[in-house]
Amino acid sequence: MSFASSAELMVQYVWSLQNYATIVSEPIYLRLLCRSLAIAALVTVLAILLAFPAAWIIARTKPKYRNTLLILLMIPWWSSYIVRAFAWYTMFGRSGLINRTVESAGVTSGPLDLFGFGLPAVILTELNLCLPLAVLPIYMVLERLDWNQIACARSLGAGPWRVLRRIVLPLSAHGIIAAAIFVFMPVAGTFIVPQLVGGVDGTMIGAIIASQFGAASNWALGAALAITLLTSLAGVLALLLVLRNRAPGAHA
Amino acid sequence: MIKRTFLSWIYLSFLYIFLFFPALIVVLFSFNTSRVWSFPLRGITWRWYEELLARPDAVAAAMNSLIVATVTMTVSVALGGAVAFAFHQWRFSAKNGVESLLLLPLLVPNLIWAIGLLLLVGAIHLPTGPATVILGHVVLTMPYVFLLVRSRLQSLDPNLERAARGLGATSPLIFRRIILPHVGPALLASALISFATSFSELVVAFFLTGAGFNTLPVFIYSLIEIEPSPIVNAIASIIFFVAVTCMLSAALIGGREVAFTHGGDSHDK
Repeated sequence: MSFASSAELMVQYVWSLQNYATIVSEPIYLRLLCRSLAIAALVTVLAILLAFPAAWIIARTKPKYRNTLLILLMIPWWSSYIVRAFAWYTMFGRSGLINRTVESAGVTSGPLDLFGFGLPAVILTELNLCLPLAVLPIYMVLERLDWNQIACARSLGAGPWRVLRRIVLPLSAHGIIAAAIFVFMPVAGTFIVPQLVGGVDGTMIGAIIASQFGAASNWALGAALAITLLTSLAGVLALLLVLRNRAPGAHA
Repeated sequence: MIKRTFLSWIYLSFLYIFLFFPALIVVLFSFNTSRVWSFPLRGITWRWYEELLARPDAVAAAMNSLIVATVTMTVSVALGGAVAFAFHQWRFSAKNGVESLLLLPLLVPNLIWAIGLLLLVGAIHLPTGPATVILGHVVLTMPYVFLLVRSRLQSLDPNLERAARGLGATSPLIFRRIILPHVGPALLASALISFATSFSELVVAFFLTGAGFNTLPVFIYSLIEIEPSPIVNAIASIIFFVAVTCMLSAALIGGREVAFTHGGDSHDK
């Protein structure tokens, strides 16, 4: 749809590749795109590293507690995105909650840059927002895991790391990749979080795209940027889906 | 072994605290007397909620959100339910195409989705306003309705229908007495999800509201940029409670499948 409509809009001016030429010739756009993809990749990896143990623990608890734990996991996810993004906005910044609290406690004399707006704030916020979505798909594969297989391997003398690497990870690979898709796609396209807590070095391509429809008011360029982002996301998605189809658990 | 269980509970608790922290902060500071966000808390007050009610623009935005969410819910459930029912009842060749088209909004980031809709709306010279926001939200929420109702329909025993027909029941009667009671919970749950999603959705609404019309999330987003104050906490707390209450009820009514459907504003980023 965005293909058709962006073309539609450009027809109103002239049919041209001018906007794409701008994107390619001005290094800032491509650099921002790569940066955003890199941030999304980093958040994805961190989210999976944090989510895997959590999914594991939930899958190993007694069935009667599992649903409660899952519902608890989803409550933050269900609460509005802007609510959570705003919460982090009040926490970071030179006069944010963390800096003010640290100051009033007398630990430091001035605001710490560590808790200012910027890239670390964006990463932490995104991680917080996306974590539930990373836990769920991993939990769903671990829940169906054949634990006998693990017990078997253990009793045959395989160490915990070996079991993890040779049995658990291959069998849960498609859940992990699903988690990666769920986290990567939205984070790469985010614009509210970088706008609220990004500061200068936390800008992402989404914020630039959004500004083309607002302050900068260059709809055609914005549409071309959005298509560029969409194309790279489709590429990443295709790659992840190929990986997922190769995973042994995919057809189970 | 006991030590390991203990460690895993500590890990899980920290993770949950991290996840609940933002919502907790927002609600906590909506009752704090001080204007700035800082610990220690000063005292408890309803002041921010009172100031909020005294602002006509905030009340208008809240009313708009209620209307948009209600209409979105109605249209989404009707359309999504109808499509799911059509999938159940008939076989047609375009099924796969229609299905992927319906589920597309779940994968594309909301920003790109919103821009696509904005350009489309602009291209056909439709003025942005309540109708375009509702359009955007229907597109976003219909997949949930479709998925939930369809999976519920799949669990319907086809013999029930056959038996009823054999006993002389007409199609409308079968629909009313067998199919509707069976999919009822799914319809109700997806209605709640649609309402919660539309009520708390920011990105699509942000692009499609147009001048002079605001929903509550768009209103607080502009408020954060212009005059951040605990009033924003008050509005955010209200959105939080509405969304979470709807989604929790949906999960209780619709069961496990709902818990795995991401309501809220899933791909809102």
